[in-house]
Amino acid sequence: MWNIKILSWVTFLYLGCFLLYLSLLVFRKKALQKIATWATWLTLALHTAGIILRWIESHKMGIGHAPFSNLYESLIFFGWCITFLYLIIERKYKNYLLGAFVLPFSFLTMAYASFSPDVNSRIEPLLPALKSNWLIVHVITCFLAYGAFAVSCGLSIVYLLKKSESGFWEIFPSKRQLDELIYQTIAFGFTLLTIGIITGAVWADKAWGSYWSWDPKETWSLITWFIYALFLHCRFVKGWKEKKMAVISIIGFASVLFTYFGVNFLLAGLHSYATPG
Amino acid sequence: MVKKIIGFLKSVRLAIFLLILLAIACIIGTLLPQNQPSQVYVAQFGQVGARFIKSFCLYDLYHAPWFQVLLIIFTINLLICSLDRFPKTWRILKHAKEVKDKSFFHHLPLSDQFECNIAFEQAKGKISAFLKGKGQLSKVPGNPEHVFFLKKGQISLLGPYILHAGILVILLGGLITSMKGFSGMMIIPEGGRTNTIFLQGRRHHQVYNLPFSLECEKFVVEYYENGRPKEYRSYIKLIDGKKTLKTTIKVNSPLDYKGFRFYQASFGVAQEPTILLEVKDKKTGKSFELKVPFRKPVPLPNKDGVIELAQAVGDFRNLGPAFLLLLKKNGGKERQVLLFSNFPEFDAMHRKGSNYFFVVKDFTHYTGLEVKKDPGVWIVWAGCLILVGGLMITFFIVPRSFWVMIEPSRKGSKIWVGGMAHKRKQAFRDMFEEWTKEIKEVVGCGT
Ligand code: HEM
Repeated sequence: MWNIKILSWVTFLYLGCFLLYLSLLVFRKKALQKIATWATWLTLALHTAGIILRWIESHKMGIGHAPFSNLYESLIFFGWCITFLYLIIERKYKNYLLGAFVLPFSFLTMAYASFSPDVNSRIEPLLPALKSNWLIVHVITCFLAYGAFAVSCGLSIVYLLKKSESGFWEIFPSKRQLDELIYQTIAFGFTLLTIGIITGAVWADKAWGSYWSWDPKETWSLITWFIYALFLHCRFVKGWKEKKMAVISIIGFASVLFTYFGVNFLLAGLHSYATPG
Repeated sequence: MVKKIIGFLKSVRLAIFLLILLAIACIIGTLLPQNQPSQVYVAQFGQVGARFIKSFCLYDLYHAPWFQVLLIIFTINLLICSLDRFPKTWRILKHAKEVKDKSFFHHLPLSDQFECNIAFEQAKGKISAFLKGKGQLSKVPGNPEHVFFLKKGQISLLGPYILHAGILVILLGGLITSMKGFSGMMIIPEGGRTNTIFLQGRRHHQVYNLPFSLECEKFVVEYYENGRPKEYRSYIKLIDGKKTLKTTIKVNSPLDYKGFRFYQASFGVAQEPTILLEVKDKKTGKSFELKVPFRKPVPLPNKDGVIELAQAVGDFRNLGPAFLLLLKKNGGKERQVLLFSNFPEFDAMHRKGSNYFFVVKDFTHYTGLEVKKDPGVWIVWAGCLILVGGLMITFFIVPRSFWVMIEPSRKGSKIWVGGMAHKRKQAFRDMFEEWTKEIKEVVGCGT
């Protein structure tokens, strides 16, 4: 399976990109910045090719479906979303040092997908309940949202680490800009998460006959939604400082990770029924 | 006192508090197994723990009275907060500040001023054309003629009201679903017809009779090569008075009819099935097909005996559908034959001393349809659309006001620009700077 091979190379390439950004952080050479940015764009292109190839290979096997159907495929797409959103922000805001804080997330998701024994990378035929266009929209919007939340989490970490506007931290965006960026990425992520939850509900309504059944996965996505709603309202309360909001953004991303992994591996044992999706 | 309570009920602080409480409640609901028999809780948490769980309804947390009270307070909070703030937002939206003189610009969050050697009338024409290219110019009463006012994206200020209204509509839909909606199962054997639904949930053990009936003409399961199920399909004929309607119900494509929705939910062996047997001669390898109805002996193909289907089980010890047949050869003893439809080789391997063996080719299925009536669902979808629309308007439109004032001066014209955004101030600052630069270029006042 070529797609799996390509995607595991991509994993290592992300590690390389991360190291490039890290050395950029340390050595501050213009040339390094160019190389890091180009290397990441090229890796993303290869990543995209891997996903498309997987789609084509599934059709060749006669069980063609969009590659967003199991844990492996969703992780691969999650990594893609993080990198893509990061590169867009990098282009827009011309700040190249945040890569060292965001690319580890791309690498870790890809590494988990490629090398964890829990994750099955084979292309499997779809169960009848998973054959739905709503499901494809659901997965794409949710993972773009998760990608945005991952980026905002990286930015929030920089925000909290940043002690002053001078010295080592000078070259990062100012705290005010960081705050604005965190808000923007969360606003984007929140909108997509909302659409994601809704399309998931539409799918559930079609497939299982109920748009909301308080299943653990659904409920955790709602919890995540509540946490980011909390973030969005904090700026309307006097006395809530940006620092607190950066912390909420990190908690929000922890909730995303739990929604994604924790529910499958920790709660599945508690609940006798299987979680769809 | 009343004022204080209302002040509390409309505060964003309360909203934040409620969001935290709701999140915590949901977390507990996912950690604690829900809707289990009480012994399970006693086994896991002891008598005291189980009593605690029972008294707070934690075993069915999402329907617990206190959880519903939380939702009600949340609704009231959202409603009062919106009603309280709306008039102020509306004023901002409608109001245009009077611009009497240049002091106005000093009070704006963003402003700039420059002088160019361009004639007043010419500058006025050029700037007017430039601003018209950016959007609709508003007339402001009391404004001198040489002041331009550009208002854009003000609708964004209404975004939060729209999205919160969407949330309220979704909650309303949910309420209607839980009060008026019901669901149940319908079991129809192939060739059978029924209008009876066995209700689930709160109205457990009750039945409901539809004003029309459904007939299952055929049920089909398709498998992938690896044995996993690919598709379940029920061919249904709906009979409503004189009208009949033929459709196929599949997983993910339910049937909608008169407010009822029918989902493919389960299937199995019908109660008194007819089975289709393949009878294979061990020596010659020849085979025949034989239809065996339930408890009606049929003669074997070469007339040397009869076979009868005595019993059919939907799932025998997790091995799937099983059938018990009685085989009686002419003049011989009656023998039992056990067949599994999932294991075609079973009979050939297990029954010795016979020149035939049997394979189950097909049997009468029943299809299990889940039936739903939910008048709230469309309200929920409407609320979702409003919510998403509101979010887009809130986040992706930047509301901004932009003023330009021109005065003739000795050098030519003196120009003031000023801007204000009610939110997204950083994004607006960039735009303000860009527009100011563009205006300077338009009037030939390069920097
Ligand atoms: C889950 C429920 C809720 C969600 C998803 C939600 C979502 C939002 C969003 C996305 C914004 C826009 C924030 C921004 O522009 O940065 C907002 C603003 C606001 N929300 Fe909520 N909200 C919820 C519940 C509430 C409740 C219960 C209240 C009750 C007080 C409330 C009061 C407000 C206020 C006052 C604003 C500011 C409006 C403005 O910009 O003028 N929200 N909300």
